[in-house]
Amino acid sequence: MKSRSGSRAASASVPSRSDRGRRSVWASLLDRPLWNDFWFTPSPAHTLAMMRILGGAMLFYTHAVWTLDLPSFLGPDAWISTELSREMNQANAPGAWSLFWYVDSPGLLWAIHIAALVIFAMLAAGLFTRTVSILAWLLTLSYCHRLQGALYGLDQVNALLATYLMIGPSGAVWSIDSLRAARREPELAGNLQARTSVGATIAVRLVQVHMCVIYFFGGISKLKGTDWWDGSALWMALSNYEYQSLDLTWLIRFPAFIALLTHVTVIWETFYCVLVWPRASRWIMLSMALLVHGGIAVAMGMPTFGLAMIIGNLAFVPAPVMRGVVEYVVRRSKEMRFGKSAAGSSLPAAASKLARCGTPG
Amino acid sequence: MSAESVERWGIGRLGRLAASSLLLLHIFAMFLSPFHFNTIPPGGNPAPDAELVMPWLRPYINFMFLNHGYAFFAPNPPAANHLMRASLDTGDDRPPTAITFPDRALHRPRLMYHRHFMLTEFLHGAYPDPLPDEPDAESRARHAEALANYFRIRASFENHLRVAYGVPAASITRVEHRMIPYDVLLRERPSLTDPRSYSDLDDVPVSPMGSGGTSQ
Repeated sequence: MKSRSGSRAASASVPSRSDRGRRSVWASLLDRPLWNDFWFTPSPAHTLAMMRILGGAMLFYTHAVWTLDLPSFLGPDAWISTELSREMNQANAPGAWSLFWYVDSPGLLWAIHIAALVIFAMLAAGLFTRTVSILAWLLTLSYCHRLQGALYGLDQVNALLATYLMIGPSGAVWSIDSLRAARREPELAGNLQARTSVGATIAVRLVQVHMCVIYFFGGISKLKGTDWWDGSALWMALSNYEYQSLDLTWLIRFPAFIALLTHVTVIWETFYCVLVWPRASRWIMLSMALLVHGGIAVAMGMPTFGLAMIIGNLAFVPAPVMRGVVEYVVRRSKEMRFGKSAAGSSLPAAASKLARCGTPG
Repeated sequence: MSAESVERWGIGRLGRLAASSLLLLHIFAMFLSPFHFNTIPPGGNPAPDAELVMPWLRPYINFMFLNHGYAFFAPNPPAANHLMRASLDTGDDRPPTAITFPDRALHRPRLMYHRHFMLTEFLHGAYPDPLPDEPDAESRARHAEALANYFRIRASFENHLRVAYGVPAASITRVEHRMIPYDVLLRERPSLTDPRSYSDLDDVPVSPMGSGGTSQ
């Protein structure tokens, strides 16, 4: 690959041959288009903003539920006492840290919890987004490290979202921050929607890569078991009373169908990390994600986990498509409310925009 | 080139070098944790290559809450779930009150039910596997340590029950709810909550010599 920086340096001074060679190697490495295009091509923030709205709402709801029995989970005499939580983390997870390990007073615990809920609500609404996204991340980790034993996949995805929402400008659009910015400088109002940033790309890419890691290991872990091979795994899940929220045991009459769904699930999960990138197969992978996680949400008693995984999958919806879909929905709802005739682009137009988008996010 | 690359990639070469290094570190950590988890055979140790770098990245992985295997319903979905029955003794003539955790009617919304379900599975998961027939000193010591850890968790649960329900004594029994086999379900169509599918599990107390106890 020809070095772009090499030619500029040559015109400024006369470096030695070896200097030129070294610079050329470094320049060639640092200017690799594949890596740099993937991570550093500035993109609009619409995908990240949608993930902020939905992820922030999920963080708010997940933590609001603790309010119903806060002392039982986070108080000094909780199921896992504060002292035991700290000791277990020190023994098994050095490096973990929680603010709640240092809170003994019930009043302080409630104050921190209510402040946390306000912060999660502000994140969802996009108010002082940059600051609250960092606070939301710290608080999410603090809850997770304090709540050993009560956690499951939902908390892993919540922490993932909180981490990456903090990295990018998730409040750049569809936020109170952007409304305030537009009010302060009306001439910038149109530019806000079109503004691109590297931070948005990095944040969305990290969610994408992390989702691929989750599915890949989820898939290959299943390949070690016999139930995912003999086709009975889905039946085991559907007939599990403690998980069950919708009785689908009537499916016992269709063993071949259950086996087929089992095999499709594990194949989809294992190969998601490859097939979600090409445009041709991306929408099959995302549709499958919607079906699988929608099924988990409805039938397996984990609506929050199912929804959180769907929010994670939104990272693969390109920003122009996300913007097009939201604008279409807003326009349609206005038309329904005020009876105006349709104008401008349509949902099919947004969908065709998707087909042209080579770079997700 | 710098201006050109800034225009194309938003940040200059030095910025991209720094960002790329951090990204590589984070992605490696993100990958390492489930990889490490998957290399551990039942009752064994992680593969040497996974263990090689883990000590360096463990604090970061733990702090960032990346320490997961992502083995959802893997390698197989559970063949049994684990609940617990709490017995609350008021210390007077009244018989102890029994509460089962989790309870769909008691623990609402569904997320709260699931939190209690995870707690009871966590308690059961802390109970060590039975020792082999002729255990060596090391496995006997490991087993005793795991059992002591289980009893600390159980003691914390029981203390919580005493405080939460304002009773002088509370005790916990682990309850196993086994899945009804496919052929039985097809033939007899029993309820998923058929009483025959539940059984209590015993806890073997810790002895100074270690323990060779098993759960049912």
